[in-house]
Amino acid sequence: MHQRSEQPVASKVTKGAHSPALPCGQAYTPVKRPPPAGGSQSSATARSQACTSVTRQPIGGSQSPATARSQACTADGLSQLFADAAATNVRKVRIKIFDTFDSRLKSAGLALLASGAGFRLIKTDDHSTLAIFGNASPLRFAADIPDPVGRSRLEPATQMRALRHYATVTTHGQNLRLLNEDGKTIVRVFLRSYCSVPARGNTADELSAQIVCTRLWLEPVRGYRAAARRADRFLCSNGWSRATLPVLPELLDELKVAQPPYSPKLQLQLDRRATADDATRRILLRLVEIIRVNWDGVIRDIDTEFLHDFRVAIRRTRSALSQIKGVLPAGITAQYKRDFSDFGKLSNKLRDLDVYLLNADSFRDMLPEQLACDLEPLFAYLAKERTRELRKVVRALHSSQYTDMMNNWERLLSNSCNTDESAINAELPVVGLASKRIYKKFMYILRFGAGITDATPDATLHELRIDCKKLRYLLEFFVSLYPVEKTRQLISQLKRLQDNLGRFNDLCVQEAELLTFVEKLPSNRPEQRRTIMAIGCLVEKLDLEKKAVRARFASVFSVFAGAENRALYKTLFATGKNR
Amino acid sequence: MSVVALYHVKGGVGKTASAVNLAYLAAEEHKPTLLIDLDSQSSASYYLRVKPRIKAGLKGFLRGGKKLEQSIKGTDYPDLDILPADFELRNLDIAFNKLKHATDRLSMILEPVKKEYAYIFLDCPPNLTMVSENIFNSVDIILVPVVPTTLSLRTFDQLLSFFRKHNYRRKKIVPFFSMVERRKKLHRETMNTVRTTYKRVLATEIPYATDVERMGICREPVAAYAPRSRAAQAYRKLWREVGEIVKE
Repeated sequence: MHQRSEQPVASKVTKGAHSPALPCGQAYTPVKRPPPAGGSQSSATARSQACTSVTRQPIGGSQSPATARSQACTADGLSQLFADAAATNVRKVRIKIFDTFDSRLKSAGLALLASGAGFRLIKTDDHSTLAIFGNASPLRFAADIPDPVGRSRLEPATQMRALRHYATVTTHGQNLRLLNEDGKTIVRVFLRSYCSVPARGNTADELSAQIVCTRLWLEPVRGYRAAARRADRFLCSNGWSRATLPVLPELLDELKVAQPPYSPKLQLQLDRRATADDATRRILLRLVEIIRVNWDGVIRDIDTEFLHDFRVAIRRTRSALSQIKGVLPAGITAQYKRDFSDFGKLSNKLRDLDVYLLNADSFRDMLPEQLACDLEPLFAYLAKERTRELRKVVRALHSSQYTDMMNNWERLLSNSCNTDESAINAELPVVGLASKRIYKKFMYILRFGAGITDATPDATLHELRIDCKKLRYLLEFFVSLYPVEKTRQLISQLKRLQDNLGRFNDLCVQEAELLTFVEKLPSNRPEQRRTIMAIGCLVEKLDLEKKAVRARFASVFSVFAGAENRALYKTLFATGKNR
Repeated sequence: MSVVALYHVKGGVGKTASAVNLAYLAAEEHKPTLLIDLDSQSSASYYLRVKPRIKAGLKGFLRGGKKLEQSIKGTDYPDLDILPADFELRNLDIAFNKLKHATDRLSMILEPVKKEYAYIFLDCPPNLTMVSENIFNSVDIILVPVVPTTLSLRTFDQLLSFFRKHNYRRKKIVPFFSMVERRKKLHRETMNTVRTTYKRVLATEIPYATDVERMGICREPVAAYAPRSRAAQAYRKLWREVGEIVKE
């Protein structure tokens, strides 16, 4: 039988899928009425009341008086408006929404929804379904999804990041058929409200569920265009307007309001006239925020990026402390440089192991087919080592030593009157100091790099890499003080040099470490010989690549040190004396 | 794309009920389906709650094209549209007669509508006239509801001999038993006789049921308001059989 009342027409395409398909036709959204101008009401209350009638209305169990009110402004209101209508309530659907911690799916225009039996991957702009796959619970990494279509769509978008269930919405709705005097359907109306549900589903919380998004669709019936026009006019003069945004992006945006999106970038807008002291504190406080946000993900080992971002923020903090000189008191700078260095070092080995395991596939690919599976004992060993290292890091991050340090550090930064005579630069305008530091570092790198020949030992390139990193951090700290286009160009130019140096360093480290692993692997069993052979083969491949990367250095550096780049640095950062 | 006519020379044999239910069942499979009510009595339009009116009346129908497409109405059921009847269609026969290519007019009218639909069902007026010949020329199969009574069979024979005489493809004719009352011995015997002589009779029998008569009150297909009834199940079975033939 036709499920004409329960299922909107559009559902036929995706019948039996895991989340309700969207109805067809023109979409409408409730008008958010602006607060009345003037009057005794504060504008905040006025706005909240205005919203009450259309969105933002708590709706929960049927006993809640709020429910009745909210339905009055949606469904009942519609029934009144459409006197001759046959209405059916649509089954409530609970949908879980997944994304990575840094919202990679959303940035890629995707949404991963789960309800009931499985998952559904949707392109947000047109709500088309890209993949449907069964429950792979607990879903963690895209790579673990058994369905090949879903995996191939999700893997490039999420990469090494874990997917997490970050919000739950329930959809409530009503389908109406507007009837003429013969009882014939002349317009179909679909009403849907999306309510956010707090993550832990206890009933008290359910009552505070919020309507985050409401949509109504008018689907004209062929041959009854006049009726559809009448319904459209009616809606537009009764608190609805034609929706400009598709429902899914709006819903995801509204949900994000409650959970601000995460980015590992600094995203600071510094004022050119600000003092160095003020700007430095803002930079450091933002880094504290990034460190704190990632703490939980490191502890719970959600994915490896938490540790990476955590470590980068620590490294940036150290870099800021040593690069932005004479702004914080010397004693404090020295102390925290030491403390952060200790906490950074603590996770060095864990990060190295993460990198090996993340690269496992590319290592396997480097080997001849007969040897590829002989690396497995190595990866098993690395995984075991990683568990041990992780335990160590988690213990350290739980320690009172860490908590105290972070708390004291944050208090110190928020408290602006703790400068002393060693902070000679604190009151200078930030832009002068920043330019000076950046230009100095750049000139240093130029001189340093120019001295590097094919005969230079590897360790020297490593030092150059560290200096490039320092320059990169300086540029990123102060990027908002300079023209965006130019600094972006500088950063991408520098990034190319860093990529070369970084890859070279990775290969050096990996080569050396693989050889030490050989000694640590238990070698009494005969099958281990193949593993050792595989590692040997891998080292050879890495060595070849290392030499190739090293050979490319000269050309990469000459581009970086080219006249154009020099001129750009000069115009942006050179102060009177340096010019 | 298939065009199916529900046709019999005799009236009151269950053409309209069958047309409405089969069209409904086809649309239920998400196949865009059009039901054309050619009968000026407009019963099919009435069952689906659509006013029997075509833009520009008979002239509009004859002209076909855009104007006629504007007269098509969506029904209460997704994927099922109807071209309602018009009282002026009672003169369709005379109108066709006055035109050139008098027996191919309906094919010409249907041609542009075909691309939109997977199935078109024609609810035909009872007669053996120029309209009927147009129908014979424009459809893929002619479903003939046969009531297992003498008069109904007699007219069915007339139809067969008409086809023979005018060289129409007799293979198009697919009869099925309609308004069958199994408790009547006469019905059972008649059906047995026909099945032995005419092999193309479908296996499904549509029973004589109150549920079908109630369509006039409910103004819905039986399969919609009483999906589990005997009649609805019979129509479902009939549609499966017809579907097989159509797919061939």
